[in-house]
Amino acid sequence: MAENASNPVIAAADLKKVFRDFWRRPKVRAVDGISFEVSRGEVFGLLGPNGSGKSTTIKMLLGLLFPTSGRLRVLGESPRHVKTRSRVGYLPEHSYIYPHLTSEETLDFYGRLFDLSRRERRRRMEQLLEMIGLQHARHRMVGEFSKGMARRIGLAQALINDPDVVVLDEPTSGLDPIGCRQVKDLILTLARRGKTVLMSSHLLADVEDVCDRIAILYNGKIQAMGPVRELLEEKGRSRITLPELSPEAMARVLELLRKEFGEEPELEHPRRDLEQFFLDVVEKARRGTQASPPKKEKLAGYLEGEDLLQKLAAPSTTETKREEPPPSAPPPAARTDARLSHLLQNGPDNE
Amino acid sequence: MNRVLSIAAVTLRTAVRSRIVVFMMLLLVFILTGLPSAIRGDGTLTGYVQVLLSYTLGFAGFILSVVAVWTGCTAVSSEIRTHQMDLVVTKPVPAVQIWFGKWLGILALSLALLLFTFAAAYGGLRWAMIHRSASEVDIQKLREQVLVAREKIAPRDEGLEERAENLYRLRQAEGAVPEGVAPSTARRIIADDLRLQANSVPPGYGRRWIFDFGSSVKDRPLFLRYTFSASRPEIEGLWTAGESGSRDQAVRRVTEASGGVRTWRIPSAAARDGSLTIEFGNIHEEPATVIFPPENPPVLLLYHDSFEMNFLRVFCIAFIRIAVLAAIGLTAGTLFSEPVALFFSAWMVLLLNIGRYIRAMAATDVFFPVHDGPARIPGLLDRLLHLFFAALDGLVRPLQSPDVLGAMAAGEWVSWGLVAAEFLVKVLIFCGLLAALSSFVLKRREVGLPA
Amino acid sequence: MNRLVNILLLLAAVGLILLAGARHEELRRLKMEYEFTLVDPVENASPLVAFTTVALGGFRGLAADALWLRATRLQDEGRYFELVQLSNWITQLEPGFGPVWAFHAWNLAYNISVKYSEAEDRWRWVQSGIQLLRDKGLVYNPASAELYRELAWIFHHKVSGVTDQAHWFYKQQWADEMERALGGATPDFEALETRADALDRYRLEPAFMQQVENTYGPLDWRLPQAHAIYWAAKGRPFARGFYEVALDRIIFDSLAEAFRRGKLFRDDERGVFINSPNLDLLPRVQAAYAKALADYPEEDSIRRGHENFLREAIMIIYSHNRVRQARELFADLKERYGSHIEADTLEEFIPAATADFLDKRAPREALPLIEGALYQSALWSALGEADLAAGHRQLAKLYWDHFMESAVSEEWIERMALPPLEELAAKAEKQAADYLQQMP
Repeated sequence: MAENASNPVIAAADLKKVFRDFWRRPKVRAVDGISFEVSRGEVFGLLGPNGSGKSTTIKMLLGLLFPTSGRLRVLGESPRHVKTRSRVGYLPEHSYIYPHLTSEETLDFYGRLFDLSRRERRRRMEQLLEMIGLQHARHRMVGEFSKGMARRIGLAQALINDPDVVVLDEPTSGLDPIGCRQVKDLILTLARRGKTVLMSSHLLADVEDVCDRIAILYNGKIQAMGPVRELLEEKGRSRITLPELSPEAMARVLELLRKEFGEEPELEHPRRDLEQFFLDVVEKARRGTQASPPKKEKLAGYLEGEDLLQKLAAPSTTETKREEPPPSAPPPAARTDARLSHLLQNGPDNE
Repeated sequence: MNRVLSIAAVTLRTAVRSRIVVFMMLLLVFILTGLPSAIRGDGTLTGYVQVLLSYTLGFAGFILSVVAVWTGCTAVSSEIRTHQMDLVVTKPVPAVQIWFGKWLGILALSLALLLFTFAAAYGGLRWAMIHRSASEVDIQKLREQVLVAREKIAPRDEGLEERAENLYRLRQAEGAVPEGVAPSTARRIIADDLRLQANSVPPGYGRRWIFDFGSSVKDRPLFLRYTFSASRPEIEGLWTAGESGSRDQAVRRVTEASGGVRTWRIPSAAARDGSLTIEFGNIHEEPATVIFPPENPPVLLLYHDSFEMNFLRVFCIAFIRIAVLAAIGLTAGTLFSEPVALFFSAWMVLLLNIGRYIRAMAATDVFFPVHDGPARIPGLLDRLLHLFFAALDGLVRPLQSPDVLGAMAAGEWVSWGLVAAEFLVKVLIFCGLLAALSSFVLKRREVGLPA
Repeated sequence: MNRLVNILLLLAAVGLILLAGARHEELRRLKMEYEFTLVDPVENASPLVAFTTVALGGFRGLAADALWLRATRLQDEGRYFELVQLSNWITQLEPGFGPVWAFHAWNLAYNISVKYSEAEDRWRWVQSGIQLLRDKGLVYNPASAELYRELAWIFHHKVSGVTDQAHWFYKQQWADEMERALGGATPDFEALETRADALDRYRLEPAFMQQVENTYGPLDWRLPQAHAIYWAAKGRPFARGFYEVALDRIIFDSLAEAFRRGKLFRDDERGVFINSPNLDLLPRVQAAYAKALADYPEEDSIRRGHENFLREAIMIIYSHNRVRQARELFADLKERYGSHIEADTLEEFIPAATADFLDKRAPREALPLIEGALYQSALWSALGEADLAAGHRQLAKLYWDHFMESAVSEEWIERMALPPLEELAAKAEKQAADYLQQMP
């Protein structure tokens, strides 16, 4: 397996997909010569309007569709390779889960497809159900679930094999803002744990929040690609955020800036984004109605790498190659902290 | 194996939830409970039991076939349509395991239904034996001729083929074979002629058959089954079985109509040393020749083992057939979309069921004979049609099998050898080929294509 | 709003169904009038049959064909046990199609029955044929002369006739059944009305039986001829063309047969079961023939049948020692068919007819014939039937005389070793006495 840290986890070169009709005549050119690479630990976003080729690209990555031409490698192998699939997790755009299985049975079924032992399946199931907050619905049929619940169980099945590559097609569609936030945090955490995440979305805010790099697709072609920060940065302009100043101090600062740049700086109060405001309000309301403090959103233990020591003790071919973060990695901090530390790590200071 | 079993379990659950399957299961229960009271035998307990066995099992077998084909067709194709398959094929499961998992799931369902069916049929049979009034003779007939497994023994070969060959050579040497007659035709005519001669019994003459069975007859009566035709509606004849002049020789004088199939119960004492000689004497007063059809000579039916063992073997064969149908449906469902798969497998099932007609077509040279004219030489179209039907016959024939339900209802032995052969040909070879084909296709099928 | 629409739609649906139902009869009538269908719509069908025929629509013919093919195959293979079932299904798939019923009933009663050696088995199949027509076919087609004719024919020909080697068994079984159901030869029809349930099995209506009895009686209802007449008479009002003659023929043929053997001696204590002529029926037979001859003047076969009947009747009457009645019959015969009759008087006719009868037989049959007549005479005498006894004694003498007259030489007589009549009579008397003694 040609895989080491320097090689990209996903590599697509001049990928094309043409859908044909019954008579094999080309009908639609869904993906038209795209090339991109995703490195380990990166969150890569595919953006684009409906019908731009996002889902087709993702399905090719998973071996559900075959490229008409071009080269596609996932973990150094063809996506149709059975071994590759054991290291990939996939959340489809819609719930394709058997409606007559309960949450538990669903996770157990997909766990068995990965040939996990009964004990391991049990353990991961418990942790995943806790992580997605569906313990109360463990014996309910998936077919009776709301769209959000179905999304969560879909996400759980995508993670049952502790995948190295997670492919998420519209991960936040159908979720309420809280759910969205949770999923986004989960993605970030996964990335921090060294997993590679490729997601598609047409919700721009989601992409902006979690993706390291994005590609914008239109008409089957990549129209723009690069780190989110770079793409969005307005060159030649800076913004300073200060605590609330006294009028005098403010006047002095403005004066100084005027002298330095010779033009009038814009002054406004920073606004929280609506999502953050909504989450705060809901959090406050929940505190009021619940006696016990809310559970912290927590990543499933096995995804955290809590069993790394175990794995090191009994190395297997795939696990030894993995560069897991040390087991002493700090537990995920509160959401704002997480974002902050994320920004600090990747922020302009470090550049 | 874990993967295969888990796929099987989910397939089973999906099938049980299908409305068609549920409807079929209800129909099955309805038939198994309603049919016994609705059927009409020939007025005897024996006839009733025979109809009961072949009808309940026949109808139930038909329903189970529909269930197997239906669930097979939808198991893969509907999951591809609803994209449930996306989540399975993106897991590390080889296509062949998906196929086998689905197949096993359908087989589990079929096995449960088949067990229920056979148990109900057996229960119905026992119930009928207890609750239906019948004469002593009738009950004895039932026990001796239906609720047994009797081996069919054909008469000893009389070397007719060899005699025909010799005669052919003689005729050829004499120059009696007309020119332009193909040797195969001449041989066939001579052999047919000899066979007919050997089986014609003119007035005052007799015909002898020797049956070798090699085993002891265990004090069970033997049954001779025969049919004949004659130029008179009824014929007087004398049957004897066993050593002539012996105390144990069985003798029976009959006046019987031409054309029927008859059975003669011969006491076991007549049979000795693993063989039995049977003679028919034509003692009709007026001149009338009796002909035993050469293609359908008398057979001797001999106790082999119990009805229950036969029942078990028929169960096995029924299960094998359902397994084949499930495999056909499943393969069709892997190859095509749902409606096409259903259509395709319905055709396959139809083909398997009209094997006799296909064989007849394959034996036809001229398909469009000219009426009131000389025989036509086969043209191109005839040859093409002949080739087509011959190929079809070659394809379908290995999958044909004898009517075991009918045999069981007639108290005939269905051997383990047949069960083994069915298993080998149908399950191991045919289903194996289908599995290989299906996984080959499934691996190369773009499961994620938009519907 | 939505609910209102739903209710309105539902009402509309109900209304349309009712409307369609109301138009149905009219459409059916028109269909019949313009003969759009080959077969009349079925009446009285059971819900299951009605449903199947409607549900299968045009495919029911196909289904019937498939079953028919199976039936033929099974019949060829000698697997008869399914055939009752298959015949039932095939006919019920085409319930309004008379020939299908006729064929299958005939197949069961005639073709399959003779494949069996045992009389019991044969009788079962004959009954199956009867039941198919009587209990099913006629229920769906209560106005089908064809089916009445088929049913009457089975009674007239299969059960009452002598073509089947088991016919004697059929007659006994039928008499047993009827004895149980009716309680005797001539039941009390009014009393039967009150317990019509007992006759439901045979679909006999006491009132109509009474009518038949009044028209054609006195009949012994334990005998198949009475039932042949019953069913033929029942179908007669629906008959047109061919079936008029066919049903009438069954009626007078059965009447003639009832005259010949329409009296049943049954002694359960001694197990005696003997048929003898029912002389009381003679006027009825004559009347039936007279009517048939008038109705179908162009049917030559009826005239020939009548002539044969008269010849036979004269012999029967004569064997009953009713010389005056025989003379009357002879006069009738002479008057109607004089050109065929050489004899001028009964005294000439009887020996001639006897000679005619005997000449058709091989000489070696002479002794058994004479013995038979003497034996019957002895038996009737023991049973208290003096006329019959005397009649048969007379017949025996006629046979003996004829034989001796036709003897070619002394040597020949010696070789045939025909003992004196007295000797034979004594032997027959002893045999008859032994026979009656043996009865439990």
